[in-house]
Amino acid sequence: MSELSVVPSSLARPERAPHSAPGAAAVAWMMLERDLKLAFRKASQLVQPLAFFAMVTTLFPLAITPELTRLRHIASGVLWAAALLSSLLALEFLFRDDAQDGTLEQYALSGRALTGLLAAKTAAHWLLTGLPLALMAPLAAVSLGVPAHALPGILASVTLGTVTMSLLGAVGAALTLGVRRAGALLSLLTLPLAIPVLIFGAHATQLAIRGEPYGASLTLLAALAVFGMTLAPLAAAAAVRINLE
Amino acid sequence: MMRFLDMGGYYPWVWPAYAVTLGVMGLNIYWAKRLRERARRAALRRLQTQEEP
Amino acid sequence: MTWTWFHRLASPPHLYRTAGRLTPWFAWPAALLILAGLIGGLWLAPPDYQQGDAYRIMYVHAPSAWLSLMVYTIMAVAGAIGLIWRMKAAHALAAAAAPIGASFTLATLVTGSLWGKPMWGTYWQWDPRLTSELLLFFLYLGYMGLRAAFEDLQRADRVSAVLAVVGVINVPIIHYSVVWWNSLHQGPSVMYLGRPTMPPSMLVPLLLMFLGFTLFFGAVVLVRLQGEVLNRERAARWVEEEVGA
Repeated sequence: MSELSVVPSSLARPERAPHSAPGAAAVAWMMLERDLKLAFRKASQLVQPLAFFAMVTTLFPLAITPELTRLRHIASGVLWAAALLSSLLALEFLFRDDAQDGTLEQYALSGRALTGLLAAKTAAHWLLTGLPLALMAPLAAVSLGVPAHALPGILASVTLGTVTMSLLGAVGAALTLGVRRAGALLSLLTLPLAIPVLIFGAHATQLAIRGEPYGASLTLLAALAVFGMTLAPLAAAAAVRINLE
Repeated sequence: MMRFLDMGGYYPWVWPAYAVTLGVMGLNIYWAKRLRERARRAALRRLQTQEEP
Repeated sequence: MTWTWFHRLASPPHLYRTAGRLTPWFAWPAALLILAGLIGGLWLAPPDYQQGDAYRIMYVHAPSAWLSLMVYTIMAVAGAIGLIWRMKAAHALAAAAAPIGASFTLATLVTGSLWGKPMWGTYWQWDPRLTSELLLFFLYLGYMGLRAAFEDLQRADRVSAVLAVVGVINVPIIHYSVVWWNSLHQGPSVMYLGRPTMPPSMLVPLLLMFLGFTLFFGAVVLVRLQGEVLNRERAARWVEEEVGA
């Protein structure tokens, strides 16, 4: 573990070999690879949000009704509320380990654009939590009585929605980096900002379940994701710098 | 006067709404003065502890 | 164009004294305007032909809603100025404004719900404006929670400034997504006087209240600003002159 969390030498000492230093995209790629490798060493952290998602979606049939025809009406709300909550779960650890062992500080001092590095970390986070959630959402949907024709729409909308969630979450995690036990605060910061995702995502899902065209809502979700991609890494980088000072 | 207080039958909502808003304003004044007063005392304390040694 | 007044404001002793001198110039006009608005709104203005006397709640509800948005914007602008020019005074202003804005957001929610009861028959409707206002309240809570989570005032200032900027960018997105969501479900929005022409006897008290509330905010924020400036000042000579004796 420890040797992996050490910064790649090309990152830590760019002044030593400036001509052979990799470009920004290559560095971002290395970061992504490193984060994925590290994450697979701690598989339990990967499984927990998924288990949580499955658990939450199980609560509703038990709490409301086992009738699939009635569950179908609330399925979009259940899926999206569960997806938002589960994507919040792993956020606290997004930057925490790297901040504690000093890796993050090395990145900030490396002379590289912190924005790109954080964008790569966010991408890794999405691959590790958002994408699995999106893949699992259709399964959960079936258990809520959603017809098969709606599953592609659910997959697409949750995929796009979790991108924005990871981006918002990165900002929240960066802001609360210096706070101990930030869990509840992190949710309080992130959830209000995630309301548009919830609204458009749940609407796309509802339309998909009814068999109506849902392209417009998907476009809005994609617009939110693009908007987040352009601004969230900047905000996260600003917050990380302040918290490291 | 009674007609004024009755507010056309809407008195159970009109008067509490005004009371809440004026209450919030009063609390704001009180909190602001308390904050300034505490900051003054804290500043004085800092000055005194600095002068002692 | 001379900027000396702006630079002078950045100096804590000057800001402290100016704030103290300006406070009565905001406080007394605010008191008079609000008093005049109360008399005009509660007594002189005629009952509305549709809503009877219930519409009089507007005279406290609408100005509170205005303050809730205005203060959040001021907070974000002050935070941005503080981040860009490293200006402690701007951060102090943001810190002073937040609790005032939050309290008026709460007042907006309570008065809106008291207005809703006679109009809708329930205390709460998921009306787009009230829903947006509720989310704005959560944004305020998050901002103040983040501020309170840091021991170090400087760090609290700068981290929360990043959050305020992120929040203010998101406020319109949240608002329009909520309006869009509401239009899907055809919620009732009959509460607000939608008529283009309001007779002067109704309009003038409303304008007096808007101006009065704004000046009231000015007076309260100046008093708080004095406190926040002192809290950010480490044992300087001017503090002794101002506070001592």
